[in-house]
Amino acid sequence: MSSNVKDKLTASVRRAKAAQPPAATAPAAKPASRRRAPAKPAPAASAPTPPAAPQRSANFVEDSHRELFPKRVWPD
Amino acid sequence: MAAQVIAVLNQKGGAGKTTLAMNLAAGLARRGETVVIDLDPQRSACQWAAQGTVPFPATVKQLTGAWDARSLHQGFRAYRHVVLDCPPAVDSPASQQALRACDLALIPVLPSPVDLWASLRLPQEVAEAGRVNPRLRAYLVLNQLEPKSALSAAMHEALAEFGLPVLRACLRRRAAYRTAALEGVSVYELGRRGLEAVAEIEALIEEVFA
Repeated sequence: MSSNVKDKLTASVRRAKAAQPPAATAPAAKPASRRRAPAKPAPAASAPTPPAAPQRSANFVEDSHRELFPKRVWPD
Repeated sequence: MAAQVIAVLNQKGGAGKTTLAMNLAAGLARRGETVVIDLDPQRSACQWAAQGTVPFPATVKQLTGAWDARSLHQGFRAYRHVVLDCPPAVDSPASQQALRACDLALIPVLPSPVDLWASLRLPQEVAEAGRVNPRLRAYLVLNQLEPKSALSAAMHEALAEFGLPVLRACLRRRAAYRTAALEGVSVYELGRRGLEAVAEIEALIEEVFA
């Protein structure tokens, strides 16, 4: 039984693999932006940052404390 | 010393990325300053940390705006380990950037055919990222393993088809992982309830960082 499951699972993965687009054609299907060089960090002024959060830099938002979370009130 | 960057990613939601990222970070935090960067728009890691009545063992932050490997290292130079909790899409800009910026990529996979099929593009993505990030090492991590299940037993053979190394250390399906999320802590803070899960995370850390 276990061997049957093993064979079926491995065969299913092989079938799914075979149905994948070939590796050579796959990159062409990806968005052009992925090919570009990594973007430079956004300037501080354009980074959406919560007003009270202490930050190491403009892009890193301190978020590990409950009190820094946006207030969310869930209806009882 | 530059921070070690570990990306936890997969194409599929529910594979246990955040569970692995948070507990791994807690384990790494016992060895040096560790930060979890929540790159997932669902903000699961941030929500997890916010559940607790005591601070999570690792710092948890959200990253907004554009970033790259350089700005990541610069921004988190105070940390020894940076764990990136990626969104459930390997071709998302955040996951792509994470693969290009990390030293180590951990890919949790569930013992389920659907999860395996959904993850088949990963080797290709890892190979592509490896061309611009030669220090990248990637491993598959079996998650929510059920030792008595035939499907779980069949996983190692099926994962061999991926062409990526599979860690010997794996995470079993345990209530402790879910309890930890609910309580906003890691399995390390669960005392006896978390001992077996802690042993799994420790085994993973030992295997990867040995």
